[in-house]
Amino acid sequence: MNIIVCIKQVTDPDIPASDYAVDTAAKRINLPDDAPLVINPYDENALEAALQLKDQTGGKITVVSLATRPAKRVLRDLKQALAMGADEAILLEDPAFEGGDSHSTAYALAKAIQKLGEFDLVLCGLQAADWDAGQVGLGIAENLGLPSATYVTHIEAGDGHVRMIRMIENGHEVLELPTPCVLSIANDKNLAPRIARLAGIIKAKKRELPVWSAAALEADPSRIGTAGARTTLHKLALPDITGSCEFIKGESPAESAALLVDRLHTEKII
Amino acid sequence: MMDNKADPKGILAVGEITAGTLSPISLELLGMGQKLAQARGEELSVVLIDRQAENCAQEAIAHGADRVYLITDAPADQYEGASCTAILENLCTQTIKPAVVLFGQTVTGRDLAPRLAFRLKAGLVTDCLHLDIDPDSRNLIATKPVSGGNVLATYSLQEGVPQMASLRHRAFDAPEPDAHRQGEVLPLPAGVDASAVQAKLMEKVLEETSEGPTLETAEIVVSGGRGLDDLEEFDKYITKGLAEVLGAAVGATRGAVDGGLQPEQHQIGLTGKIVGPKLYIAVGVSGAIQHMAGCSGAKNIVAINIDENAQIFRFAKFGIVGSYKEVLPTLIEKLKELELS
Ligand SMILES: Cc1cc2nc3c(=O)[nH]c(=O)nc-3n(C[C@H](O)[C@H](O)[C@H](O)COP(=O)(O)OP(=O)(O)OC[C@H]3O[C@@H](n4cnc5c(N)ncnc54)[C@H](O)[C@@H]3O)c2cc1C
Ligand SMILES: Nc1ncnc2c1ncn2[C@@H]1O[C@H](COP(=O)(O)O)[C@@H](O)[C@H]1O
Repeated sequence: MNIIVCIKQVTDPDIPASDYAVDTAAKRINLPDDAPLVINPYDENALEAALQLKDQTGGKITVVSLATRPAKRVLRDLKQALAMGADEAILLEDPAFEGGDSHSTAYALAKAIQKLGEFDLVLCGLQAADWDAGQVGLGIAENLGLPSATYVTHIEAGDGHVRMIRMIENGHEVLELPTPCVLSIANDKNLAPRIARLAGIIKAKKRELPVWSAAALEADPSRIGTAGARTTLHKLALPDITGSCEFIKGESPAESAALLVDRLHTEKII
Repeated sequence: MMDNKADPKGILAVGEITAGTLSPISLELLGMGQKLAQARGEELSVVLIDRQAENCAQEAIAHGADRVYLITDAPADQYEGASCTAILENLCTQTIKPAVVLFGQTVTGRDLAPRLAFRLKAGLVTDCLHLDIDPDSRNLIATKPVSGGNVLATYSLQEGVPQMASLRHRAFDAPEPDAHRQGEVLPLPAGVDASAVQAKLMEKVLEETSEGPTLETAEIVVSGGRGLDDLEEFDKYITKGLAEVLGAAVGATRGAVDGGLQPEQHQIGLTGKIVGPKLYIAVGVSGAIQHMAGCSGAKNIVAINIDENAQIFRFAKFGIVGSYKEVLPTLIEKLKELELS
C-alpha cells in the first residue's frame, strides 16, 4: 500500500484554559511563547493506522504538512513521523498559503498529493485541534474526485479496495471503498501512536526534507491562502467559564460521599 | 454579478430521522432556521432523505418548516455520503438555490456538510453555537468554539454560493410545535441512481443496548475518565456501580476510550456525544475543555477527582476531592439505601 498521511502542527490541546488570550483588534489568539507544539492528536491516530497497514502489507508512507508556523518547527514533526516509521516527508511552505481556510488548505494539499503520483490511500485526522473544523479530509477527496469516509477507526487492505470500521452514533458500520480513497481517522484504543525508536530518531534527524512552494505545486493563486478562502474571521472572544464549586468535605472520603448523597437529595437532584 | 439567474434565496435545513421521527437536532435546526428565515424575509425549507420521510413531514411543518422536500428513493437504504452529496448538489443547484444551508453537527452532518460545501465551493462553519443574519448585508454570521472551546470565533461567509453552517446539538432551542401551521409538502425524485453510491455497506453493528437509558436522553449520566485504573475498575465502579444504582447512562472521556476502558460510542465531548442530563457525575475526569463541550449543558455537574486543582471543579456544582476507590463504595451504598427508603 502506498499511503499519504496529512499531519498538522497544533498547540498542545492539553494546555490550561488560562493560557489563552485573544487580541481582538488583530483577530489573533495569543498563547505563551513556550506553549508546546504537537502533531494534531487525530493525525497521530491516522499515522498509526498507516503504520499498522504498512506492518501488514508493506508499502510506503509519505507524510505531508502544510506549514502554518515557521518551517523549522513543523519539520520537527515531520521528522518525528519519519522516526516512527514513515518513509518520506514533505513540507508545503509559502507565504502565499497564509490566511487560508479549509477550502484553500484542502486545495493545496490535494495539489501536493497529485504531484506525489500514484497512491492507494490518503489519511487525515477527524479534525485539527486549532480551528476544530473537521473539513480538510473531505475537501481533499472532493478536490481529487475520490471516494471518502469519516470516523474511521480500523482499516484492512483488500485488492483494489479497503474495508473499514466507521463509528456511527449507536454502533459501527463495516464499509468497503474502492482505492484510491481518502479517510478521516478517529481515536480508538488500537490507534495509540507508537513510540519512535532511538535508531529511527537518529536516522530521521539527518534527513534533508523537500519543501514545496505554491509554484512547485502549480497551484492556482486564486485558490490558495486568503484568496481561496470562503470564510472570513470576524471576531475572536474568550468564553466565560465561571463556575463556583461547592466542595463537600467530610472527616473521611466515605463521610464526604454520604454528605454528597444528602445534599443531592435535599436539592432534589436525585 | 450580471447573470440572469435568480439570487440565492431561502433557508434549507437538512433534517435527519431517527426511529421514525425527526431527530432532536433537526427540531433545533428548524427553530434556528425559522429565525434566520424571518430575518431575511424568506422561507424555511427542510429536506428529508429517508424511505419514511413522509411520516415526518407534518412534524417538520409544526416545528417551523414552510416547505418539506421528501426524497424517498435514494439509491442507498441508509445514509451513504457520496450519493447523499449528489442528491443535495442537485437540489441546491437545480431545484432550489438556497441562500443558507443548515446541518446538525452529528456523525452524518460532519460527513455530509463538508462534502456538499466543497462540491458547491461554498463556505461552511461547523459546530456553531450562534447564528445571525447581518442586518446590512443579509449574510450569515456564524460563531463556533475553536481551540477545543477555549476561544469563540465568529465568521462571515462568502456571498453568491450557499452559506453553510452545522449546528451543535443542544446549543439551540427546539421550537414548540404548532399543529395548525400550514406548509407545503413536495415529494422529489432523488435524481441519482445506484452508480452514485461509493461506499459498500458490508455490515452494520448496533451496540447491544444494556438495560440502562441511552446517553442522549438520559436524566443522569455517569462518566469515567483516565483516572480509573483499568477496565475492571471502570466496570465495577462506574458501569455496574454508580451508573447501575442510579439507572444512569455511561459516558467516558477520550482518555478513557483511548485507554480501552470504554468503546468510542460512549465518548462525550467535542468529537463525541453531546449530553444534557439533569445530573452529570464525572469520576476521574480532568475536565478538559474538549470533554466539557459535550456535557456543559448538564444542569448539575458533580465531580470526584483526586486533584483539588483539576479543571473539572471549575464546571462542577458539587465536588469531592478524593480517590474514586475511597469515595465510590460509600456513594454507591448510600444511594442504594436512598433507593430503598
Ligand atoms: C481535536 C480534539 C478533540 C477531542 N475530543 C474529545 C472528546 O470528544 N471527548 C473527550 O473526553 N476528550 C476529547 N479530547 C481530549 C481532551 O483534550 C483530553 O485529553 C481528555 O478529555 C482527557 O481525558 P481524561 O479526563 O480521562 O484524562 P486526564 O486528563 O488524564 O485526567 C484524568 C483525571 O483523573 C484524576 N485521577 C487520577 N487518579 C484518580 C483517582 N484515583 N480518583 C479520582 N480521580 C483520579 C486526575 O487527577 C485527572 O484529573 C479531544 C482532543 C482533541 C485535540
Ligand atoms: N495544514 C495542514 N497540513 C496537513 N494536514 C492538514 C492541515 N490542515 C488540516 N490537515 C488535515 O486535515 C484534517 C482535518 O483538519 P481540519 O479540517 O482543519 O479540522 C487534519 O486532522 C489533518 O489530517
